[in-house]
Amino acid sequence: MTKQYDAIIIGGGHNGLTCAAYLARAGQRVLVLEKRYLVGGATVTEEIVPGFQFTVFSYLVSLLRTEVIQELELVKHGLMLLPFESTLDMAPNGDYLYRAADHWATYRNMARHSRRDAEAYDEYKLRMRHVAHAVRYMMNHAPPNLNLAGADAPALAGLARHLQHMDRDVLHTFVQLLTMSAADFLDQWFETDIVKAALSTSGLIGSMVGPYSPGSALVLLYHYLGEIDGVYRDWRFAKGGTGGVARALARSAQSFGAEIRTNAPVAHLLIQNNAVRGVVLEDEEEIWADAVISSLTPQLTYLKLAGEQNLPADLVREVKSWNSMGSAGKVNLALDRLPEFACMKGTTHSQAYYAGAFSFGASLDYLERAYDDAKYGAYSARPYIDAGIISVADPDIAPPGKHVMTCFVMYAPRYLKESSWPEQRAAFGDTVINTLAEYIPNIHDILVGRQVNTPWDIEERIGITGGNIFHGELRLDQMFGRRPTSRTGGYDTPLHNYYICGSSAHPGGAISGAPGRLAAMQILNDVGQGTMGNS
Amino acid sequence: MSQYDYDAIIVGAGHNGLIVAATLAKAGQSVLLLEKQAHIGGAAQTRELFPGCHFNVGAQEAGLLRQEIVHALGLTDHGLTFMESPATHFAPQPDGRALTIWRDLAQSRASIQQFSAADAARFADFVAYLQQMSERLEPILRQRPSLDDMGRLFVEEPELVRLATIPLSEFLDNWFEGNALKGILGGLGVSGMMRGPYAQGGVFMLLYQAAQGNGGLGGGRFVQGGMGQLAQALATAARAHGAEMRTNAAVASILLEEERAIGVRLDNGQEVSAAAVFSSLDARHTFFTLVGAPNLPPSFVRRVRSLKYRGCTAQVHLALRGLPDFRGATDKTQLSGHIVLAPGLAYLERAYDAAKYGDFSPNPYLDIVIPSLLDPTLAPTGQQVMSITMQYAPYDLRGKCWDDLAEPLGDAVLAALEQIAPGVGALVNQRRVMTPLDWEREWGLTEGNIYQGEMSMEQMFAMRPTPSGEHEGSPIKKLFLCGAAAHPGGGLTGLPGWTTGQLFTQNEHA
Repeated sequence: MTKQYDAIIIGGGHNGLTCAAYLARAGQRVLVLEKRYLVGGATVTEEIVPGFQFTVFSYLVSLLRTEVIQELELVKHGLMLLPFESTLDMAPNGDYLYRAADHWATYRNMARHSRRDAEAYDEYKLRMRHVAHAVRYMMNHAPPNLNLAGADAPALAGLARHLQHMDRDVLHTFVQLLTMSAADFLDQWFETDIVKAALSTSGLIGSMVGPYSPGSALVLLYHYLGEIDGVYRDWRFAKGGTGGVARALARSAQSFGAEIRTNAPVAHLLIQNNAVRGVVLEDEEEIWADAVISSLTPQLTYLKLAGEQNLPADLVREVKSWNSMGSAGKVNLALDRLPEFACMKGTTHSQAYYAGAFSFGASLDYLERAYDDAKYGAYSARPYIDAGIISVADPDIAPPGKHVMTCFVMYAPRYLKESSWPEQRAAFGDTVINTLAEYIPNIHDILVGRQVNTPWDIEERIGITGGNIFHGELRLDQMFGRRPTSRTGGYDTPLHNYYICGSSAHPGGAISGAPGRLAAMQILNDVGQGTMGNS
Repeated sequence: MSQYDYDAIIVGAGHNGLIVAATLAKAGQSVLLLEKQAHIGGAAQTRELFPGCHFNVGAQEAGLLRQEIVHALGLTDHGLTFMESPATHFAPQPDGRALTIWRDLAQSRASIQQFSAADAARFADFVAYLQQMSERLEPILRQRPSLDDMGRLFVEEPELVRLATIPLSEFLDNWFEGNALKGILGGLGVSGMMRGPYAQGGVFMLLYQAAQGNGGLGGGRFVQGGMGQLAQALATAARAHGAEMRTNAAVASILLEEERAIGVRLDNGQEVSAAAVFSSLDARHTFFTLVGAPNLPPSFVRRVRSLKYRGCTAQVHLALRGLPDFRGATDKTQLSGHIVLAPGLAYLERAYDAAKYGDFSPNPYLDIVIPSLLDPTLAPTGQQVMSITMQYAPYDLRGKCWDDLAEPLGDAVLAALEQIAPGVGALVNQRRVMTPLDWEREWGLTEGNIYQGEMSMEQMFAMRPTPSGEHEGSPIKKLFLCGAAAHPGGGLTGLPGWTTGQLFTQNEHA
């Protein structure tokens, strides 16, 4: 059998599509295989309640690499990122913290809680920007192969040079961020609970840690990497939901000649003499290619598609202990009209906050107690909810005058100790609505439909083993040269012609396109086509 | 004739201060050691809390003390005698059974076998693995790395990095299935740490303990006559080399001349000058109390102010009429090491949960020793002394005060103890509770932290107590930290004092 493609990409999530687009752009014949009826993976928009488009799983775009947008001409292919102007964090005691694009509006509101915190906020953001800037090197370079310290000398030397040139204070802050808890880290700048809580939540999103857990500061840093150009205005909604990102990527890939097949689940790889020759679909169709690239989780990439028997025992052991346990659910609401926030009644803010993001539960203890429930195998009785009414910025996704509200809900462990998710899904949804009702008294009156996604749904529907939105906890022992195993370098696998390009590869999850892009660079290097783009 | 009264003044006669004094004196320096308490030994001393009953207050055993220090200072010639318990850990379980870890691997395996054949089969590998990894850690503990070294270690020691950040529970779950064994290991990993086993950082504590070179899980190495005898032996060694020592001599401040330490002022007003000052106090006390924030660069003040202490350890000392019966114990030798109430990782984590919110759990982690079993001289004939180290007793009670809650804590500890040693309450003649506030007030340990600062990654190595490169731990010239606040940290290894003293004498001779 002769090859039909230069490269087959398994999984049409945003990283698979990014990798495909880059390879096709370099002239490779590329096929993307997606098991679902639509591409996007966790970046999909679907009409679940008639007339309401839900950004089903993911909801915010902040880390999408500028290089990816430019090199793949995503704007030409329909990508539109909508800035949101503000963040409104609501505390369980009825208080709130409002941060807006207007620096002085933010200052005034923060000073309402503490003048010292308001002063410290600028200093804090500046330090985080410096760290993010310094770390950008790592986001744009493949990590060294830790197993071949000698052989991978160039990568190591590059990193060492980079670290040596980092400002000492910035380096120290970076080291702190690797292992500290978000609460402790923020303690260095801030004194009020609501400020620390509101800022700490970036250290929790998608991870099974509380604000007092060591390691949450690393997640915090990760979420700041998208803010290189300044404030949180760089968090964006995508026009049409995050499915809009996938659509633009798919169009870009197709414009470069890539083929995309949906409803095409891959059963396993075709392997001959420790080299991958292609894939076998679940309907037993064989497709041959020079390279196969998996954007799936390590468990699926290795244990299911490649098979334990074809892999070194060390690697199998590492993959089996890979932690990709989910910690969150996603509840999408169809609303008849805009919600009323109890905490904003009687305040003088304009209603501009509707166009921003909201969070419910901005108190460190509240967040930590929500985590406590989850660590013993229950979903939070009173969850933390990170939300946005995307239809305010993008009215096209809901019927006129009506709204879509996206709710990222923490914490929801993958496995419930007392029950199972299919049994508890509705009760979990009720818990979310009841929690929202504490902040939005009219929520029951305006609710016209809802969709509840649990970690079980994330695993079953889009194939993220464990349901972790990053394909694996963002922890130092699962980052960098260990992502997803220490047995390989960059985007290689122990099998010839087999690569990885998903969120479980360096630098990690979120809608960044970085793993897909870096993987494509390595593959093109391997086939002698050198690098592309401006790296 | 030097312009100074002494070559070196050492503030605080804890074991690290004593080790520096002995090391410097042995190298020919004139040394004055100043201790504010009436007794030397700091947090490793023995006190007669009740007539005839001698208790180790603070550290209970010397399992982590580096053998090279014992040898170099000739401590066994100066009266130090170790007593090793054949059993290191005895852990009664809720179902009435008990797991015993012995110094002897085969015996441990047999005990683990009752709970899990798989765990029993893996135990030797686990101990070997810990040992192997701790050998990689050991050189880093001896020599403080710089921030740049940390970057190098990050890529050269990937397995250590993994162990530094994998949650302890995840690490132990990958090795073992039995709650009893994981509870013992979990307890070791969180000892002195204001965090639970579900968090990162505990694996490092396991390694840190293993790296002190005593094999196995270590532990169970007691000092004849009590821990105070270690201080006495160190003092004897120091005096033998000419060191002077004063107790009841509290230092009020460190004298400075152009950002250089030149001596100390005692709280009676007396000034003593020295070419160098060593402080075995923690960073907060050394810099804020003795040096004074106005004499320090603002950036450094901010660093010291940001250090995390958060003591979480209380002790309950019991004078007992006799030896209590422990559930699951078949032989008295099982009880001569640590008796551990830590039935599983979730139990430990829940105990921590209470502390996070400023409370102590009715189901605490207890690490119990009965030193009089190996050393009957510590208690009147037929009686026993028992010291219980308890977690989590948070320093910050969120508005409540330990002065009001010390006795309720004692009651809670006894109630928990009663579950594994039914009838123990009736044997108690006397009890004394020591809380984090006591450690702070009497021992000068900020927030009662027994390690003089949390041993979390961001406060270790190049960052302990403040980041390298700026001031190498002290912006004041000729002022050196030499206690647990300095690299590599607490736990009665003797390393902070030993390495500080060695480095100083080498530089002086160079």
